Amino acid sequence: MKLIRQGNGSFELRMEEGEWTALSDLLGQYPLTPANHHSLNSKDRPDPDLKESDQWLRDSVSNHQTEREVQLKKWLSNVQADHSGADVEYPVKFDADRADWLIEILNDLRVGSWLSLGCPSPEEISGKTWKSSDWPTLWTMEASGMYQSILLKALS
Amino acid sequence: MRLNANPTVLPVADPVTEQKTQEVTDPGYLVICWDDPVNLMDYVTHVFQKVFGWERVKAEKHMLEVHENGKSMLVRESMEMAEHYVHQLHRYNLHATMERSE
Repeated sequence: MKLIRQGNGSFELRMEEGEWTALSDLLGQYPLTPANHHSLNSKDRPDPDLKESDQWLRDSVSNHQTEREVQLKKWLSNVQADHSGADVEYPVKFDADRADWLIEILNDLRVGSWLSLGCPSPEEISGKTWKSSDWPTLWTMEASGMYQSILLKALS
Repeated sequence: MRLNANPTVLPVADPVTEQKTQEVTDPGYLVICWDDPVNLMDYVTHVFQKVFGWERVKAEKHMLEVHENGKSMLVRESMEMAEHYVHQLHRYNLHATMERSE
């Protein structure tokens, strides 16, 4: 995978077919973070005035995920359609807004898989003997973080 | 019926003074971001910049507060604005809450 800066804050990731397949398979899992994970009320000092607001927040996050899912599917099919069969690489072009959008989607995958693994600490992630059934979820979490880091680096 | 020889002058509310009084009496809500072991430090900085329009230095300062102290108080706002910011932070999957300021 190569990162090519193109000026005006835009850049291009050139990926080989296997890399593109891995990224599109990863993104195809979106969304993974359940909306009921979200709460604007502090656990230590719950405010009864905000009880209804929690449901509003969850509805808002859920609607946002639905919008993002539609946009993501369209984007994935556009990248696929733009790829010339003769070219061995997939040129994936980004501007700052698109990168921000993708970083947010990747974070949903990272947080959702972390929740699914039982919210392990960094020490548990590296030290625990994981069941083979957890490996795909661990891969999703780590791969999402890796792609996030690449995009964040490109933005900065 | 007796007519009042000295007509009463009713006080007229000064909108500016009224607004200031409200600001003084309503301390508003604090928006707090909490630490978790999953969100990347650079990502948290990026989100603070996007949501609040902060310079990188200020966003990093708050990110480090979250990382080192377990939480950072990001802004104090009216209930509506605090809700708006908390919604934005949750859309980015950061753990943010709001609580009444004292």
